[in-house]
Amino acid sequence: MKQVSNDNAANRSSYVGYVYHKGEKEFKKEILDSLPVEWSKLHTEGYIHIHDLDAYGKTYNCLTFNLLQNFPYQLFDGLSETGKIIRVFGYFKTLFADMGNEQSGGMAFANFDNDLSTIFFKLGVKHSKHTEAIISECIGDFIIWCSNTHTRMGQTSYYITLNIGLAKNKFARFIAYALINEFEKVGATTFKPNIVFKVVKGINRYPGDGNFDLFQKALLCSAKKMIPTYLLCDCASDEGVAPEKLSVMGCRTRVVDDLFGEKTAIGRGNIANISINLPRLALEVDRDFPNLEWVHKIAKVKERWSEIADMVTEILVDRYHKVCISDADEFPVNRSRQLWCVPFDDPKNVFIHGTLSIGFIGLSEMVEIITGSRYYANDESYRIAIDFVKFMRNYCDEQRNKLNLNFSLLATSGELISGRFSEMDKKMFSPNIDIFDKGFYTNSFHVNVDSGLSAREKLTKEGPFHLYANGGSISYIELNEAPIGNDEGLKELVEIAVAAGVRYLGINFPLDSCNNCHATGVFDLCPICGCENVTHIRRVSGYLEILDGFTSGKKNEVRARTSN
Amino acid sequence: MSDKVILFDLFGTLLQTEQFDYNMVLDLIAERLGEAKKRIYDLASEYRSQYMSDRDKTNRETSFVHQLKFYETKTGKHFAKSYADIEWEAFICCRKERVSEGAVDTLSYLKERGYKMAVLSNSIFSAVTLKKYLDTFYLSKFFVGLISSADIGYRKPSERAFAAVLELIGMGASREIYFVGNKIDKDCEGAEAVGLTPILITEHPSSKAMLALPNLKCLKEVFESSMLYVNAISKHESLVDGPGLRTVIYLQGCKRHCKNCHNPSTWPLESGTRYSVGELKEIIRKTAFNKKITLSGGEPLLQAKAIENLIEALPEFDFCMYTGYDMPDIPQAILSKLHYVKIGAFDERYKTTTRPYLGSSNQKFINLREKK
Repeated sequence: MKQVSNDNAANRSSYVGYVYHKGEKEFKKEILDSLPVEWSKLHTEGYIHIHDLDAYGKTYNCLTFNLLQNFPYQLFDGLSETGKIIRVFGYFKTLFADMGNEQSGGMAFANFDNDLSTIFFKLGVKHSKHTEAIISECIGDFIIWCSNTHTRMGQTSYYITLNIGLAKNKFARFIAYALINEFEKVGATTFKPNIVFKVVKGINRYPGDGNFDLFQKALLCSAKKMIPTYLLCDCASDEGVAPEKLSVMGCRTRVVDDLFGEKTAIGRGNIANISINLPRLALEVDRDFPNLEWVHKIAKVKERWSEIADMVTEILVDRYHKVCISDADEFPVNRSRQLWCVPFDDPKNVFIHGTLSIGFIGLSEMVEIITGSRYYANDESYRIAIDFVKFMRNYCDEQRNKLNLNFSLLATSGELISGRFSEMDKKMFSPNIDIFDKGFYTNSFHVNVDSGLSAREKLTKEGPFHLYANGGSISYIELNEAPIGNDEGLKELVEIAVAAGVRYLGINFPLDSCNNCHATGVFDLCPICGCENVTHIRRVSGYLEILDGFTSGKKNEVRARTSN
Repeated sequence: MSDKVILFDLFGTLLQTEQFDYNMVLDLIAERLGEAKKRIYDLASEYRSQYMSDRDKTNRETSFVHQLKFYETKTGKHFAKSYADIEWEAFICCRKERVSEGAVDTLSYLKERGYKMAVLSNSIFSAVTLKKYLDTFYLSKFFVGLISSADIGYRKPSERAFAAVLELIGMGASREIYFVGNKIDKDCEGAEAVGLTPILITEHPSSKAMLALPNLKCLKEVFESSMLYVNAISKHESLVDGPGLRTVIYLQGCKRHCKNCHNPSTWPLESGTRYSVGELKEIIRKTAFNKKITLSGGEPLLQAKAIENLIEALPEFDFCMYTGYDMPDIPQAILSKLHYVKIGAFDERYKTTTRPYLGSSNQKFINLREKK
């Protein structure tokens, strides 16, 4: 199963993909050429990364569907119960495929279990043994569709996230159960969509809570397949927001606060994101002011960051305005399905509810360059790291207030830039600097993947950062092997994470699967049938992918990981 | 954490004297010198009053060879054989010893666990002679060496005597080093004064605060029940060694040697770090934040008594044990206090990566509390 390494890990090759890719390259160049030269230079020189550049001014990034607002119940008139169920899932597939052409990033359901039960209720589909069987089959089929369909851009699968866990009635509980169960049942090489389990006390977090059994089932599934991931609605930073309004994109993007409406993720999304290369700034300061005390070096880094962030803000605003004046006809599905929180008439009335986020990568390397020590290794460096993230968040809040737009700070996953920024910086600065050895920059505010910290220590160190990264963040635990059957242990990790302030949690472990006999474990040669036809599944950004298709930065990261 | 060293006194500790008649030695000397017995007896009292009367005050030793030379000088006669030969003849004619009860068993156990052992004896006879004598009981193989006061000129409790034996084993004094003897003043107080930990072998425990045991058999029992030999303690909580986040203690030693064992460094019994049950208890209290422990290995049941005590000392902890044995072979005292047990030896042919907590599918993981 060798694949061509692509910018995007999920890519496949095809004729349409080839044409798209060529066009995308041309179009990106065209866009860069059209921007003020100092902006495009920032991007091409690797100070920043304008994500989804080909969508600049054309469309927004991601959307959590407001599914119930305008659900076309009439489409299902006259069908049998079985027919309705089958058609609903057919409708979802078409919806994702169509929407995948109108936006550049992820799509999510905030409450797959409850919303689907509501839809079925309104369609007159009753909860019975019969409908359970059909729904299970349809969900299984839907999972395989999400995982194996690569028609997006002629080459990629759809980034779909289904949030569950708050099921309010028996039917919804069954839907949540069936989603986890079917996902667990299909082979290891089927690893999409991303399923996010929302953990909430009083609903599912503790024994005695109505959906505790679903939580346990989810944990047992994660122990085998790394999915679901966990949105910890009880964490400090989401206090006061109703859990049913919370939702996450599998990649980690979070949309909650809205200057123009209620706090919710539903019917909203991120418009655009630009990430700033933090190690670059530190390297420059270190080169230009080698004799400064590090306290002053940090001040210099902040100065440079602000200069760059000012330009990033201008770019985001420019992009936002361009997408606002784009032709509403370019969003036919958005218009007909009404999936945003407000009616999709004039784009500018819709996208004002979106967020613009400033991202960052390599906080760990930045601190290491300045203080000579990794931020988790001593209190002083840690304080600097926290202070810097707080500083970036304050900046985003200021921009929000000044420009009256939803600005947020995103702890970027950076699947592409983790390797690219590091490579560019290595060429630009002395290649002997330690931070280049590993061939990638550490994701967002994460502790280095080879820290050797225990899971508890890692979560405790990373927890406080989540509070500031209001545009989305995740913490991962790296394990040596699948914690099969250990829901109790994973639950303990969830508790530690909630206490630490972690908002979104993922459990990672190496997952190898034999394509011949379907044995799973950690191996290059199947221990059961001895064949070499083995798929290596890993998670680096937020979605699971096949290792062979990873970019070099992601591969290097996987190699460097040590268990927590 | 410590180096495993244990030092022994000889007479009264490792060996029990059944007969010791110095007159027989004097008779032998008279015969070998061709001198009247009476003359030698008189010379012997003269030698004693001149060289040995204040031995207990000065802790100085005079050797048997020194005594032989004294007789030669006084009588003007000479031995036909070497001093060493005469010494050996004298030693075996005057002494009759038996090996203390449990000594071989105890020494074998300590040797197996990798202890470095040496003997420090107060004797006028040289180390060469004493070692030759120990050989007749097949005991000298247990020791890296033997120091006799005859050779070094100082007797226990002199600091110099203890210094000599420490130099022999190449270690500085430490409380982690035990000195086993039967004399409270010479052995135990002496050892304590230089910074070793004394163990008194006596039927009559003294009022002094030190470990006193009736015999060497008990010494083995004390070590078996209070010392644990550990390969490693997991730095991170594990998710694959039983339910929950578990702190894993890999015990040292396994005789099973399964093919493709995931941790062969745990096999040798003689390596590993020694902890007292008390020490390990404190470490566990500090590190295992959620009170979940898995005893793995190695084969934990090779240290069953100490394991039992450890589990007993931590009643509020949730213990899981990974053993290669099957249920009937696990002592009830341990089994009754475990929450989980994994039984059965690893068999590579049935290796599994999908069965929770198992290495091979012939093994079983049992929740003992659920069963009840």
